[in-house]
Amino acid sequence: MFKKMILWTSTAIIDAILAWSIMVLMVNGSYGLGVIVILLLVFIDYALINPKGYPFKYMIPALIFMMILTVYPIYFTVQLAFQNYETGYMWTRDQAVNIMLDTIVISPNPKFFDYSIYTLYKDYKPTDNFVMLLKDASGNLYVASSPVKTGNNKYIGNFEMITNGSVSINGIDYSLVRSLKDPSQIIAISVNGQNYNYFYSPSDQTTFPNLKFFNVNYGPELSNTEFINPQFGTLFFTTTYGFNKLVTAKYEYTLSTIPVIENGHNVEKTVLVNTLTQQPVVEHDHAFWNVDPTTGKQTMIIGYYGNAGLSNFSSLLTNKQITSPFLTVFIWTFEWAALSVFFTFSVGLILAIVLNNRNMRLRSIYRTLLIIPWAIPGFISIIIFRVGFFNVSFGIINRIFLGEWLHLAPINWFGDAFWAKVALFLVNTWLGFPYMMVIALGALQSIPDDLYEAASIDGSSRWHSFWTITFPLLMTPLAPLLIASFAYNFNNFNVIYLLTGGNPPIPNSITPAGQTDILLSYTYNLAFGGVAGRDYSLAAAISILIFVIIAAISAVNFKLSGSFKEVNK
Amino acid sequence: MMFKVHPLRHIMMIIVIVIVLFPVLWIFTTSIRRDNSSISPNLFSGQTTWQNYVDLIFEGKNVPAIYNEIANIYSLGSPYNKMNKDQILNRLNDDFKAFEGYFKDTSKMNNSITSNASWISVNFIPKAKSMAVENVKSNVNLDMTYLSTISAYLSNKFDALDQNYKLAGLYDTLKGIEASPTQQAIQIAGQYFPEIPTSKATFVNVMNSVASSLSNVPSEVSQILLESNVDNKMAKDLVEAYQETVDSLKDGSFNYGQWFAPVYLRRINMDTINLSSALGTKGQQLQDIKVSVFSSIQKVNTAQSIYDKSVNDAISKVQSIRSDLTGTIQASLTNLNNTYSALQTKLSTMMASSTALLSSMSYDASQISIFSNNIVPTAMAIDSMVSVVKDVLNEKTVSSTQSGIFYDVSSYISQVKNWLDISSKYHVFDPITAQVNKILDDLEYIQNNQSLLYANRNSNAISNVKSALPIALLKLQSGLSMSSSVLQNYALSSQRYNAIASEIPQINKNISEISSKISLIQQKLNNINSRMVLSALYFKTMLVIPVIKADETKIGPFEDAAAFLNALNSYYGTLANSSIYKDIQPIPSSSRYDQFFNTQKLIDTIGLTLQTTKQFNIFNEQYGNYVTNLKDRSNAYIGISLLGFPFSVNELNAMNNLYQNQYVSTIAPALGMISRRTNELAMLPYFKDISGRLGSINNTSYYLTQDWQVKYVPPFLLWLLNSIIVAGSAAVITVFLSALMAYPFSRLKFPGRKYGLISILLVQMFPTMMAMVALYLLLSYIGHFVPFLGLNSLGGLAFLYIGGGIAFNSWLIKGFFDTIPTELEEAAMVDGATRFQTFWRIVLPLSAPVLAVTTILSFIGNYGDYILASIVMSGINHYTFAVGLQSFSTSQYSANWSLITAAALIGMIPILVLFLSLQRFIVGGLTQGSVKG
Repeated sequence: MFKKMILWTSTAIIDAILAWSIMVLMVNGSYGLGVIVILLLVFIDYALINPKGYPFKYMIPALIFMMILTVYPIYFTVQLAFQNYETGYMWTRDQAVNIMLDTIVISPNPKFFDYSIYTLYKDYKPTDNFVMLLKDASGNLYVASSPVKTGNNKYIGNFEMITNGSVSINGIDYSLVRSLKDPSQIIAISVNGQNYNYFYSPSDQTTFPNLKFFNVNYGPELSNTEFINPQFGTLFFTTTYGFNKLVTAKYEYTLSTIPVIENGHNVEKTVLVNTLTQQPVVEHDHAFWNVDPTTGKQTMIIGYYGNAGLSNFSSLLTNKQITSPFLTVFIWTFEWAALSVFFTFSVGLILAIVLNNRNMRLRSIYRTLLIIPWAIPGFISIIIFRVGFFNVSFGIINRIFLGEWLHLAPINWFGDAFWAKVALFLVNTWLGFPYMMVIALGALQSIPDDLYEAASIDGSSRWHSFWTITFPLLMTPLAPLLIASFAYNFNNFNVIYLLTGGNPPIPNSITPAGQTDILLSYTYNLAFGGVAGRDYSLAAAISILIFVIIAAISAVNFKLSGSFKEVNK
Repeated sequence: MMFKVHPLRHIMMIIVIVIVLFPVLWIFTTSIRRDNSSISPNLFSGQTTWQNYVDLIFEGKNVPAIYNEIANIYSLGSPYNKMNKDQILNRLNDDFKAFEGYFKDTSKMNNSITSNASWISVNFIPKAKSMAVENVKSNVNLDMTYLSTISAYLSNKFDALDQNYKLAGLYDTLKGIEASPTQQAIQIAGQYFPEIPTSKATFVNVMNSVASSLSNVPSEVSQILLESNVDNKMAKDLVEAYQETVDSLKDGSFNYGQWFAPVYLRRINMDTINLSSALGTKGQQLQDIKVSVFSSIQKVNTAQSIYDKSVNDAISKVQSIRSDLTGTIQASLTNLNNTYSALQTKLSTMMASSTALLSSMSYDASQISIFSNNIVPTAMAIDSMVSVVKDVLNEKTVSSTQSGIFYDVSSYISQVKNWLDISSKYHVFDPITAQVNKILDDLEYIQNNQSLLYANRNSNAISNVKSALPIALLKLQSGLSMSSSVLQNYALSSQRYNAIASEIPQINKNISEISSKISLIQQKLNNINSRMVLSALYFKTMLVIPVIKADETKIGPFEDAAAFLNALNSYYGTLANSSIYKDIQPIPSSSRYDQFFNTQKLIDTIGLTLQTTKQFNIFNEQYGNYVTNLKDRSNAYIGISLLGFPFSVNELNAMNNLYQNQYVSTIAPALGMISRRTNELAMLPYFKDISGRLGSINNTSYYLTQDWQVKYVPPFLLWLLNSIIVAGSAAVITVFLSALMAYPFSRLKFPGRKYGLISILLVQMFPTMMAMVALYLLLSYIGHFVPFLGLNSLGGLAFLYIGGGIAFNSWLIKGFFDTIPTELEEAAMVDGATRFQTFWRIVLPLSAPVLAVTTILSFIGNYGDYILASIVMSGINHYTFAVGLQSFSTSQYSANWSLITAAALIGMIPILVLFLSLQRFIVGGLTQGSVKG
């Protein structure tokens, strides 16, 4: 009974947590993740409550990780591949609209206003209450009231010209208090009888010690405030003038309704209107566009992401500037994987044959020493090879082996595609042959000696018996491993990225592709390369391609290795 | 057995292993190198240090680092702006203490260097000097033999020369005599100009006789003055002047032309006049002495001028011979050279203008082709018009009863003719000329059939033509007139180009003729010059060899040996630079005197060392004084800073200036040089006795620089720690979760088991990094809600590793569980254990070793990841080891190989040890296991 209680309580708690996170996720618009958590909830409840679900209890923790970090990313990658999520388009449509509505544009013939801040002191310390004194180019003085919050991070204030030393805004009286000694100095503003002291002005160096307080307490508010006066216009702080002046400006886009004909009916439709040209903003290709009223030319304002259909895949096949580098990378990836397996296996097999002698002395020491390249973390060896060995001007290959010893011209390792590939194969063979040697040695030891004895009695040469006995017998256990190695090298990001970085670059490519880039490093460059912007969606599309290829390779491999049979056991 | 046991196999293995492990060896040796390995021409170096490891592991602050920290504290930079006064003062005091430690160390090291250096300079250098002198003595014979061979060779060659060449070579020797006469030089010159030695001898004789005759004069004069009781300055001066004059006559250095002789004589004259006027008869005596002395000196003067004249005559004669020999040839050579360069200039201007003309012509031609777009269609239009006309006229052969003009095209015809006239000369216009020709035919046809056309002017077709023709002709005219100016231009350019092109071969021919003449004359001149050089070298040798021989006999003290070697090397330098050196036996290699020169280098180096350590001690003390000042005032300074009055600490600026002016500009380079030189010298066999002391100087100066130079050491240890935390925690969690997951698949039957296994099998084939974009965006999303699992957090990265490893490890562990016999569990369950208890108490303990291995392998895999870590981690303090090493190796410090290799070694050792100790499992089980499943 007690056990049951615990079971029900814990189930209820887990359910509550999951339900809460589902709600948060759904509200935030990440439906994919939400569905995943719903599935998890169902699964967990089944495992905990149903007696038949007992085996699933063991899987709950692992499954949570796998769902979130394996299944969801796959779903998300697929989703991304059919979108246009890239630099310039990384907003949702709502975000894009909000950004446009927040955009301020300075008036064609802007008027500038100097400003000074007057603050209410309390206990000899400045408070958050302040008013502003403005001064235009012809010396007229204005008072601006404290900004009032109107929306999310938006404020509105009013300003009014001062006549005869005082003015009233929204029922509050403001009057100037001038220095008796020097009447040109306005030392305070009296607001309904309370004195606000002169505090800060960007043109008065003596007030600069107060700059920090201004920046922290008033700046953020002021930079989001519009000061309105029906007669003189709307004033903003803009970053263009470094917050040293206020300037007449307005919001560049406003919402307004225009009549359109839809399905034969006249309907009012809400659209964004450019306040400078009075033209409605048009929307197509996942972006908003300004229309020039005279020429009709359209210029992009801001993009947002959304469903882009097959455009990423079709651009891989039809956009010539993307297709040709992509094909280069695609073909090289196969060459790279195949030749890597060939070289490592050849070297490994030869060494394994030499070592395959039970009577050989020091055999295990040799083997241990030869395994060392495998035992060193790959990234360290690769970085050392790049910095110390292959560096064009300092590397010891060019400088000492070729230069000092052989007196040959230096090789342009990373500037010439051929030599870059040579360097890659050299390093990858060094890294990979120990594995091949070890598996070949294992396979060789399982070949019975009688076969060779029989062959030598029949007068078969060593060479002949290698190709007729050893090699076929080796291939049976090793083929799946070689295919797995092919798949591994197909995605061998570290060697490529850390040694050549994909260099040399492919000329005339608009995507960051190099002549030694493989698909995975190309994906990485597209998503995180940085220089030309991030194209997550194209990267996701290529990822899907890699998924498909690896799946095909794996299918072959499972067939060969009999993994499926094991599943059926 | 497939192969026989064979030593070849071992040799092959060893060669392969050496090649394969070379990078590892290189990493180790480079990591302990002290010199700058990225530019050193050697693969390995004997100078080693563990300093890089010390820097990486202990991350100690040296003097500049402490200075920077103190400067930051005084300016209240982060994180000190958040500390209170006591904390700041404590930190400062720690730094001051560290400073004092360094100052003590520095002076201790300086003293150790000084004591070693002064020991060497007192106890070893005298011995080294005498050894070096012995070394010179034992080698000197070879040079002497060489010198006699050379002089024999040169005199042979010299004897074969014409008299004139012999004399021409004497020029340098004579100039030498003019400047400072030596016995040897006068003797040599005397063979050709006997009057030089004879006049010199006369001069010397006269001087000697005068000197002896005047030798008593100074004492006589002083006697007279003494008797007259004159003992003033003037009297002393007079005696001294006489004495100097007589002395200079005695030792042969008297020379009327040089400044002091006239000065003394003038003084004698003036003093005698002044003194004698007051002395009466004694004064007369003085006057007499003066007169006799002056007359004697007059004799010397005469003899000297005869000698000077003989030398000058000889020089002018030799000069005239030289100019006779080479003058005319030289003049004609100069002439030819001038002509040659004038022609070259002309040729190059012509080439330039021809290129310009060609380009303007091609520009014109392209212009014409633009006009052809105008002309050709017009031509076609006119042609069709005329064909219409022809058609009509052929049909209706109406006789020309009426005379009249249909349309006068004569002006067009002439224009077209004119156009064709020019263009037909140039093939570039061929494509258009055909068309224009056709126009001409058409126009002429119209012109010839004016009356016929006029007669038929009312035919529809022809009146059509008449209305169209004027526009076509107008268009033609505009095309022709626009293009004809270009045509004319083209024609003009072409003419000029042809003119120039025809002239160029002639000029080329002239140039080659002249240059062959020049080379002929040059050869002649070279012949003459080489003979003169030979002769001059002969005389030089004759002059120098006796000097060197004399020096050789004097070798004994170190300094004299140096003088000898200097004389020898300077002669060898003349020899090696002369144009006939290639014909003579090569100079013996100077490396025979290496011991001597290395001893010199040792003396220099020890001198530099003593000087530098002295300077360093003074610098160290001054720097320390500033620090003491700062320490005394730190309380007040910090107080001022904390009250919000920003002010700059002048002591810090002064310290920095001192550091820059003293340490950076002088001491550091000197220490570097000392370190390098002592290293070189310590390896020499003859400095074996002091190699220990030199080595100590070398080491100590290196460690001094380590304390004082600005170093950048990135936080490798922190990166390593990050890597270990992330990889380790991820590995442990992954394996635990995987074991839980694997258990039901291995032991229980349940619906969906098969598809579950297949999905695990499928999922584990896909490396996590393929979904990197999704994972990046996912982490950045999660980070908004759970910061410790977001981007740039160790947790986030570990999260990814766990998620990526579960499928693979579950599959692996399921395979292990399958191999554990179920009898034990069944027995336990019979005894009343639950399922979970059998898992927890039996299966897990039994597979503990395997799980441990799996954990370690998973750790190694996570540790080696670069791609995910580089995506997730940004900011230098969040890097994993892989990302950190990569960023350091691509930074501006990447040439610091010693540091990179040391860091690499630190980063690889733990993994290497783990891997090799698990070799048995990896080789035996996992590779097979992963295949089997």
